[in-house]
Amino acid sequence: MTQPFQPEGGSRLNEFRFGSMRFVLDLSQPLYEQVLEQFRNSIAKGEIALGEKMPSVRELAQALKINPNTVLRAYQELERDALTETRRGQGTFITTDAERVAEVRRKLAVQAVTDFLNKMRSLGLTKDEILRLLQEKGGDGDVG
Amino acid sequence: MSDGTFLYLVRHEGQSSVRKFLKTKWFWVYAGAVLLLAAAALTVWGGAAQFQARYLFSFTFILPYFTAMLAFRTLLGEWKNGTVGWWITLPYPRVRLLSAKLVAAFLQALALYAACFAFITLLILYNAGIHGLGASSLSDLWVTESIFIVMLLGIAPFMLTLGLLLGAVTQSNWSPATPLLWMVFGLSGNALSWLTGAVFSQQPGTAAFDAVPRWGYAMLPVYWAAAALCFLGAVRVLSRHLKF
Amino acid sequence: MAMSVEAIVGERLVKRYGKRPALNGLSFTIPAHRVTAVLGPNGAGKSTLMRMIAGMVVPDDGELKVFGQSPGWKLNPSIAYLPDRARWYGSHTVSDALEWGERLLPGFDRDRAYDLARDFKLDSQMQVSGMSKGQEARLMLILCLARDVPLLLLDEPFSGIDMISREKIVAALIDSFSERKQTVLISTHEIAETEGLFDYAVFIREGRTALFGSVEELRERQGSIQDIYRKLFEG
Repeated sequence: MTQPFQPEGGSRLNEFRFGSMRFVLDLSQPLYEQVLEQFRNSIAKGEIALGEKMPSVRELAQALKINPNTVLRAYQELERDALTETRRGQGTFITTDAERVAEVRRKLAVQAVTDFLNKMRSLGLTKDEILRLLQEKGGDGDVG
Repeated sequence: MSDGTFLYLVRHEGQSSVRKFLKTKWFWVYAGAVLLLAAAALTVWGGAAQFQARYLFSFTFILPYFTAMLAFRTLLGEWKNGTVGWWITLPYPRVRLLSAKLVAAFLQALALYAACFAFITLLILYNAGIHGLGASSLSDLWVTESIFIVMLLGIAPFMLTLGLLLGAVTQSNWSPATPLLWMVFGLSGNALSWLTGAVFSQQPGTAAFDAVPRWGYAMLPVYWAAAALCFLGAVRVLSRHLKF
Repeated sequence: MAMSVEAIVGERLVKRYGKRPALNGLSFTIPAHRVTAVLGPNGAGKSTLMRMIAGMVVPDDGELKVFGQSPGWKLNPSIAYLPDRARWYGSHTVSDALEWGERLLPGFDRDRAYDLARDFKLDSQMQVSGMSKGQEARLMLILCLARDVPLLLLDEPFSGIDMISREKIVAALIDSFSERKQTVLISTHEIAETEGLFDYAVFIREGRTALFGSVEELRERQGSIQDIYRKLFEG
């Protein structure tokens, strides 16, 4: 039985830490989607470096205490997205293609903006009000 | 089931019960105490004219009961120890599983008989030694001993299979029939009491094989047929009627 | 996840003990090569069902097919069964127990068994009669996991066992699922610690199927398995 990626002290059930990446599974939502989204986000954010080796299916399943099948499905989807590549005999690695990552980051950003705009519109704000709000709150890195 | 597998199963059955029993120190304490008491009694009364050393063999009448209980416990041990789920789902037919228990119980019975007869022989020799009885008194003793052994071995299959059947029935939908079977057990275990009477009514020195009436030996095939029936009954109960 | 092949099919199974029916018209299908949980309160009929699959209990009515065949000793070479409230032979050592498995259980892989014993921290000379409940449970699980068979049947493998042993058992199961394409059926009460392991779940109430489905789909529609269990069985 191989050692899983070492959970750091105080890890809870269904929690996983990998470098600066950390996520806890919510058992009341489908797990496969959570695993997939977590990795997509972390890759887009750069929390996992380009070309870095991914935990094996078994290691991740052990750390999260979930069925390896679920992990496998998520990994297969990441592979289809070209975010990861499997090298025979060596394991699975994050893509080295920075453009691909940038593309994903852009997609996620677009989705976030779309969600934001929908929410603003449902609150009844006009375009000018939204822009003013953005300038007020935007600033350099200080949000909220 | 290959022969190797069957032999292993027999060995496994024996390992579980015998080891435990012989480990208990009380067994040895009692055995030792009985030996001493018997020796003491013989020292005092063994030399009397009416006493015949072969009376000691009447103690063996209890052995058929023990034999049945050996088989009974081998089977019921699975339920008592919580291992019945493992045993009964083994990928072998019930006939084989039960046969292994039968053989194991039989071997244990043999060991028990050997121990008892060794015990009694020792006492007899002691008695002869203490009271200066001649070797001639011993010759018909060996013959008597052989008769008892032959009879014991003859009815052992029946007592064993009755024990198995009893065990199976107590765990089955047929369990209301249990008292009936215990009655059969009580009556048939007594099998050797007639033998004791027959042998002891003879004068010492009579060729003891003649002491046993013809029908005594003729009974044995009946016992073996009954044993076969009991065994098949036990297999049947174990295959269809168990309460789980 | 498409449910392809059916490993076990039950149709209106009935089993009566005296007046009370343990199974009261239970119908279900267990998909092959997946991990399925059998969930329900005590007395719901879970153990009776497991025993039926293992050939220990014969249904009074209804039909049960495992890999297309009727249960019985002839099918048991393909089934690794951990009985409910099982114990092991007290006079055995760990190595005696593994020998028992090797001699009597088809598909038993001795090397794998000893690897598992090492992972489970069970020394080969350790006597079973001196073991804690958790150690004994781990040993019995080895007898099932060391076998390369199509069906793994675990009846309450976590019942009454300390946390460390449970964690080791879960880890060993995940390893096993990684390596093998087995059909696995587990009945348990310890849903919080194990629901991540299941692909499918069957909920049994009073001898009947209350709910069945892919666990991920159930999560999407209703929430965690624990929540669903509470909703189904409270009161």
